[in-house]
Amino acid sequence: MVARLMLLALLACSGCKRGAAQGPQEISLQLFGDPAELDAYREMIAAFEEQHPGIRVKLIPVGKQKEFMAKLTTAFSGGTPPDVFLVNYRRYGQLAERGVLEPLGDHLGRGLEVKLEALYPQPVEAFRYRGKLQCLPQNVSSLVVYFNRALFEARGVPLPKEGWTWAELLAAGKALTDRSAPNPSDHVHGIGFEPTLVRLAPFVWQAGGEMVDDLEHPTRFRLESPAGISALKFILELRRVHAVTPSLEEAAALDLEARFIRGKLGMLFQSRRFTPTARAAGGLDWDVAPLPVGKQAATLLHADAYCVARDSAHKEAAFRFISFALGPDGAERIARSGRTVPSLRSVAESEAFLDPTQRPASSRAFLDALPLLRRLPSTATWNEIEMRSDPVVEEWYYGPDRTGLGMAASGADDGGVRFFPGSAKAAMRTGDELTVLPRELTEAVRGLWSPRAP
Amino acid sequence: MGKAALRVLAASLCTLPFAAPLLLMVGASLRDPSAALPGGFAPLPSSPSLAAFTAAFEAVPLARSLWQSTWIAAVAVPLSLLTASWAGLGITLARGRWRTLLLGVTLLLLVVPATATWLTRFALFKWLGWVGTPLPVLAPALMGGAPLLVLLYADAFRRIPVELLDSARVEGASLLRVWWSIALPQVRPTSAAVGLLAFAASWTGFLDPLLYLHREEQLTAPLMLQHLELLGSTQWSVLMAGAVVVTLPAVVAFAFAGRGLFEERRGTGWLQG
Amino acid sequence: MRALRLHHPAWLGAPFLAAAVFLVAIPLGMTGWMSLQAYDGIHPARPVGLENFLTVFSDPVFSQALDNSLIFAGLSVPLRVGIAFALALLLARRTPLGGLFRTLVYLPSVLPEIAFALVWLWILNPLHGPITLLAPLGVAPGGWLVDAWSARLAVVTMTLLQVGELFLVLLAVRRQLPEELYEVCALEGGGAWTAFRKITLPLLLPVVILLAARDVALSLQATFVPALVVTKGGPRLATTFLPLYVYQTGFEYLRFGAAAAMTMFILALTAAMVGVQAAVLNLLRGR
Repeated sequence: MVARLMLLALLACSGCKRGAAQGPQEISLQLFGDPAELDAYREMIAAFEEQHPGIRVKLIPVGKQKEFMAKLTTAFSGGTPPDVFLVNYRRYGQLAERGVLEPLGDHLGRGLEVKLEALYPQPVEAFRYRGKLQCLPQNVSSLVVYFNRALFEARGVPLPKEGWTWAELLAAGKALTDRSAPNPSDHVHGIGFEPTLVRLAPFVWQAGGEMVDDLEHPTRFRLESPAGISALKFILELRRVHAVTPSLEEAAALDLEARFIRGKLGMLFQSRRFTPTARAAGGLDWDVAPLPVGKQAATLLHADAYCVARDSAHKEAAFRFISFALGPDGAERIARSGRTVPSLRSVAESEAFLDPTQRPASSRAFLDALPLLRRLPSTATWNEIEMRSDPVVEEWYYGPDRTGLGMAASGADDGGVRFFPGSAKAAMRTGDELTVLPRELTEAVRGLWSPRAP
Repeated sequence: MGKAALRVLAASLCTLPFAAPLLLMVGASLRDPSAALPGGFAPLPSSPSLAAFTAAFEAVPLARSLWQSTWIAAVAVPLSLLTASWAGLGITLARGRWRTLLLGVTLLLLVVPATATWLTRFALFKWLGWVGTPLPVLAPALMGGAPLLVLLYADAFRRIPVELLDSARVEGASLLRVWWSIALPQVRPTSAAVGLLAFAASWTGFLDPLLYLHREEQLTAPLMLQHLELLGSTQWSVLMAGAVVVTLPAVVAFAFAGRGLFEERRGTGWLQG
Repeated sequence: MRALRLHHPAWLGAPFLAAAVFLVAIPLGMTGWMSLQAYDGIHPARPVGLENFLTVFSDPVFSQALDNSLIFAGLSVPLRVGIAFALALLLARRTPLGGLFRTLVYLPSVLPEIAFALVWLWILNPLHGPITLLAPLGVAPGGWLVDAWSARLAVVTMTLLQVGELFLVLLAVRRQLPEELYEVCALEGGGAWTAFRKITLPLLLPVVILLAARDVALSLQATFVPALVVTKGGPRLATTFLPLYVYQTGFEYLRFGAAAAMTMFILALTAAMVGVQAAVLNLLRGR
């Protein structure tokens, strides 16, 4: 009897699905973002539905990238993928490799009213998999420095500007760091650096190094070059020698973004996606600046694109939605929320993105960075390589020293002899730790480089 | 007297840690999310506020997920009670190899970790086209919810005098009639306890909803809580407020029905199978 | 075999048995099959013989996950059973507030796993959480973020409070021991310790062993949510237990075949524990 009830429920459910197909079409849209970002999408969806009464868009929001991908792959393997989803170029490879994406390049001009020439070329290139355009980029963000202007001015530190250097970054970080308050939650750190592969990349490139041997067919990391090591040294010393970034414990107690919002972080390396959240924090006086420059200028492309599941039953509706979202109207709405650096040139260069009444005042920094953009691979296993690598980078960055004060205070272990930032001994010790990272990374991702057949 | 007091003291000291997580959760949820965190740990904020609860409901559609969890429990709990009490009565009444079979299966199920079946169960549900529907989340209720519930019922039915059950059957009452009119009324406290455990299992379930439910309007309360965490672990009090909201129904149910679990009983049978 | 007439009581167990076949027996059987296939949940499965097992054997993360799980079981099972046993003995008697205490012990077991894990995330917050209170005792509040053993201990600690089922069963069994035995013991001048050693322990031991065997198998699922939410598998894979790695391999990276091969280890461990159960039951019968 119970089994029959279940069967009835099942029948009823498949019935309602059929019913839905006759009424307005419903497409599902999975994307990740925090509440401030999601509000912008809800607003854009409302506008789309108003113009297309026959189509309803169901939002499937997920908060973090890692869980986002887990949910996406689980849905694909369960045969219930979302019709449309927004995914980063570093993560769509495993789906493209398995052939579950509808190659959107084939539908341009046929249902998909998006003109490639109107989009910036860099993100478009990032979504070509084996020569075929898989997804259509929504944004062309890059890594920049968010800084707390009020904090800079209060300390009399010169504001970051076009062409500033690594040395100036460090000097500002040192000048802003203040651990004098008795309550550790009042401590201010000059710099927020999230120790991951992605955050390392621009510094390695700026030093003249490479992350991997070949962007299209990577077979190994290239961090061990002298240039790579010099970048690693600069980054590692931020934490271990100068202690201008929060310790692991501090970062775990309150994450970097929350620290910035609370005014306890001078500078934060982030992409455009942090803008809506920073805007939502009322009373914070902040702006963005381009990355400081090492031997050369470079920054990392952060781009997400709309993809369509090959098995979607509502491709036409999905195409219409993407046409709207990437068109002037949709792109402008999301751009106004602050979420994107629009992939659509005309909107990116319009007041919708560069709105002088909205923070950040220096939004143009994102556009100025376009010629400096470099990217990481999009291969089938790249996402997994990052997932395996990041814990290694994190452990390396924070190291065994957790005093919160960096090496300046950890000398007690060395026979009671204190040594100071910049001393030969400190440099030697960090020197050993520099070569460790490339070796450990190589070990951690062994066997992941060649794309696996399904 | 002194010895008894000592015992009570020892018992309260030993059981306090079990209350601690709940107390800490409530304490942390009362902090105004916009207020700065104190240096070090403070069990209670200096000026308690309910702002975090409002913020939690605003950040995610928590109310909707509570409703989802409620109706899923409203289906799962009666179903669990039904199958668990049937199986329990079956174990009590059956003899010989049938009894061994039923009891053996129940004991075997006790040791199979959920993680041993989730991959292939997922493939099975995919083949049935159930992924993305609440059916996989409800399905365990067909198995009595959990093997322990079947055993609790079997244990309770054992304590009903055999003559009572047998005489009814000799008089020609059907099995269902024996179950409904004779057996069940004798074990009301057990039914309450089993209902509670089935409710807890359904309400707190995380693994199955995580794998099978995708759309925002389908998410159950525990999933929505994870959602809240993913959306921004920056505000501890909001997260803890969400945790309190999701936990509360389980605790309230437990306060009402929990006593049935611990009633004095003679002859606990299932281990002497 | 007697004919199964419709009013045979075994029919009452039929829905339960059918569900068990559907939800457990068939999936278990399919695991063996899936472990011999290359399957990504998207394309049709393709038989590859023992390749998945070879991959899994040569995967350092898998051996790490297996070690982690065995370490976890080794630490958590004795502690959990011990705690439940001690509490069952302590709270078996009728005492004032006894009902409240028993309820409190069971309470954490009915909390939503995810809420429980989030509370622990708060408890373990290295700057603001209650763990900072332990700093004077030499516990580094952020130790679990960097140190493998501290992280594993944190996960073990989390599972120590959720011993409701163990407690419930042990309490019921303890109450079932005839009081007369204890009276005789007291008459012969035996103290509390003697009573425990001569009566309680020997009579409860088989049950304790049974429960421990079951707990070993269950320890394989108890780690999933804490590892997913609190320690996130880290630091450096130290809390990537088998279930988390199976989940990642299967559902995140779509290598269901390899994940099924790993599940076979979970099954082997489970089977070993069933063996222990059967042996204990036989011993019981033999008496």
